[in-house]
Amino acid sequence: MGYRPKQAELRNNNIVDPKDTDQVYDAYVSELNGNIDRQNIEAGSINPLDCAKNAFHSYYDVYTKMNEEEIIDGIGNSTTAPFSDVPGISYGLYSGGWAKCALDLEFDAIEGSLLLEFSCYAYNNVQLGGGKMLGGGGQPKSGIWLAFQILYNGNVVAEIDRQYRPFCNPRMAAIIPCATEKGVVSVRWRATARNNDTTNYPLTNCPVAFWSGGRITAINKYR
Amino acid sequence: MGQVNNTAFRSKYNETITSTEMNAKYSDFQTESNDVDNTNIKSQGVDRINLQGQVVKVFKSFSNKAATTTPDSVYAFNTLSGRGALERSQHQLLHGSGVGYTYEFDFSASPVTLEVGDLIRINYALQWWRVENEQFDKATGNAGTAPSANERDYRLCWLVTPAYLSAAYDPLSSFWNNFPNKVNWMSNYEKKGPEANISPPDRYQIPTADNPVSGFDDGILVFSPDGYFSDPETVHEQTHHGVWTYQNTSGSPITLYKIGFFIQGPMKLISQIGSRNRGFETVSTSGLGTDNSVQIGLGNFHGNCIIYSKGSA
Repeated sequence: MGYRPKQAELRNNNIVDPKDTDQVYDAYVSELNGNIDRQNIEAGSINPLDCAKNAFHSYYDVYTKMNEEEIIDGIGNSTTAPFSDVPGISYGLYSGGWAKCALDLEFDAIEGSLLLEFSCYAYNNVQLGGGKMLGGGGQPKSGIWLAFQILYNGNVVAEIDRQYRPFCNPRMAAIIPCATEKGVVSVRWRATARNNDTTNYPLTNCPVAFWSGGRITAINKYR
Repeated sequence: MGQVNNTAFRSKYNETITSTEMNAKYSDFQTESNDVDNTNIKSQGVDRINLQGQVVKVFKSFSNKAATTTPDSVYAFNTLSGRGALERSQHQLLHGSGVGYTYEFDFSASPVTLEVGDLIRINYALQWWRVENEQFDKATGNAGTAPSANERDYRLCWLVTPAYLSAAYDPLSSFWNNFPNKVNWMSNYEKKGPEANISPPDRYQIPTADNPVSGFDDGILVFSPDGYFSDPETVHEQTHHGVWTYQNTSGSPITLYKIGFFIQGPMKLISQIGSRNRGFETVSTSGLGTDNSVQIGLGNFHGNCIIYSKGSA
């Protein structure tokens, strides 16, 4: 409330002074013209659906995936190679380390909290030949993995440790405080690096990994 | 509403303020006080205590509890031969409507309109059991005999997707809808019953552009037993926890009567070669015979759903 007006006491035959009248009346007008707040409004009296959009929280989401330049369709040294018809990492452009997706989630954050979440499906060939492009048969082995991170304005806020499954559904979430600011949520991924010795271990002998179907979600609840 | 316009009484010696003038002022106040909107309210003046209930539009959940009188009722899906219409583990309906239990979000009593901009979040838990331990041969599509003789197909997986009904459920005519702008995972559910000798293979294309605008392949659950052979190193059961989010950006409201979940497989991940798009392809069952291999036989499923309203336009 901007002002708590007092009760004016009027008596019969009084000549009411204009200034007194204006002062009291102006207080009521001032209250109604933009100073109504939680103290004026009865508890539980407003239907949330009557509120303007994003009145109490806002949410954003975006689809994301591996960058196309990092993907190669049809890996292997021949059309009949075991991995010739599965998508995977192009080791011409990726040789290890954290790779950032081009598709970010950008929005205007309002001071409060952010629920940040990422999920996708992922594939790697962990079960055959140590997960390499060449090979087939043999016992399933570890050695090929995928890992993910969520970044908020450049800072890592959530991370998934190495996933060694042929098919899995990585998912991570974090709730962080935020200021009123420009928010950028990014995803980075990482996979087993190829062997530096490409003579004895040609690129076709590199691990096979792929992920897609990513969704970044941000729910901003205001302070 | 407009603001209350107020002109001050001019101060004059012995000026009389008439009742007409006062009444006019109070009438203005009365009029505007019956039409309060955001122009009257202080910035950030409304607090949560002023709201009725929550800003969440809908909350719904279902558990794996099922009717005890229904055969195999403890499972969300069951491909054992005892369930006649689902002998093969393809195109199974992860949904028990019609047999006494449902594993779906049912809004039929009060259908929900998902307005443009509303957000659905579904938290789920899926548990599955592998029933048979036979090997699946990539080259022949047949159950293999020994690892050294046949190459195991490493690309095989099972896939679970959500879908919705936009009208009251009818066991004879209901058509489940794929959520807009997603890969149409329901396009092959027009076929009835199990599939065999699929020709051409059912395929689903996933995005191959850096910034696709439709055909999104998110919102699915993909899993495999880590190999399809009798080996202690493979997985026989597993539980997955995850979340699906969907914001209605289709441009039109969506009426929700039910949200159900569908499993299909085995599928295989394929690359883009020639005219074939990158995506998933159902596996040919030719030569498999009546004994299923690669069978995900049993499963439990439960989840909860929250729908957030975008608010008034």
